[in-house]
Amino acid sequence: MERTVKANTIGSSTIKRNGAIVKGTKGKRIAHLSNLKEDVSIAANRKKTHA
Amino acid sequence: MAWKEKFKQFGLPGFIVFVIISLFSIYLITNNSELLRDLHVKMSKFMTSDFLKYQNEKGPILQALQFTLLILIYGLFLLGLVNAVLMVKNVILKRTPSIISHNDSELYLELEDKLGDVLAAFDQHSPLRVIDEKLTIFMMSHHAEIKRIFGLPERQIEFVWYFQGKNNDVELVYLKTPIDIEGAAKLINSALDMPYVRIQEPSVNNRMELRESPIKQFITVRNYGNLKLGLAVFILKENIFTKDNLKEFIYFTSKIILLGTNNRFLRHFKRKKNSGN
Repeated sequence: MERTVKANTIGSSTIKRNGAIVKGTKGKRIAHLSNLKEDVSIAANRKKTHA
Repeated sequence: MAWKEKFKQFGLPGFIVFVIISLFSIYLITNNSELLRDLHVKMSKFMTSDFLKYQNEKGPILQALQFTLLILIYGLFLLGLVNAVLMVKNVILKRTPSIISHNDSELYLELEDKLGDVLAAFDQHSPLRVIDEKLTIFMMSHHAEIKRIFGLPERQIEFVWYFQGKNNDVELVYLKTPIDIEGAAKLINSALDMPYVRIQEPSVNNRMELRESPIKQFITVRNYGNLKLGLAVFILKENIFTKDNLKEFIYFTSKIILLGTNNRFLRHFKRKKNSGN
């Protein structure tokens, strides 16, 4: 049977965040990013070939 | 060219004001110029007020003042006339601006079709592998559409989908690992400190911490309310954002905003993340 999707490498990571995620309440325009958080801890999960 | 940009910015009324100021300056510099004197005489001919009538015996300061007043009167009249013509033209030629062309709307419908496939697979209780495949196709179609909006090839754009994990953690899922995953994570994490559902950073390298990053521009969209599902787009080329493509991005992503509210869709997205572990 012909495959409809080529094998993809699904990757995933986790951002270990300090503090709550701010609720999305404002739309209409595209806001400019204000402050950049310097210290971000991410845990990259191992990749796996996925079809 | 710079002068063309300036002309576009100020338009015809700006040009008229420029001509008026230039004429006045020339008049002040060369007060005895015959050409300007003729202009002065001709302009005052239509004026009924004695003060505005040209008289040779008037002093140069008074004549300059009279000339300025005449230029202002004629200038304002001309400005009003031009604006009236422009207003009439706008009313006659007014068309509803279309963000998407006919071809683009076909592409949007195709995308809708892909989403329909995923939702139908849920209802048919299709095997997880099938649902997963359809979800991947849907993600790829989304990527393709955003690539088209920004006119970028595969190698110059990267995508990361994200949703809320445990303890305020943010889970990232991607079909291709971003070239600067740490930079990407910093941008996403920072965007989540703001209440806007769409956030952009058009000059990523201007940020001290990311001045060496291959990411040049960043834009993200997520749902309203508590984070359910978001999509971050990382552009590896400078100066891609324009007023028009950002407008189309807003239009296109208005559907993404709703995706996270579909629990089955979100559950399978999370499952996809776990399959990447």
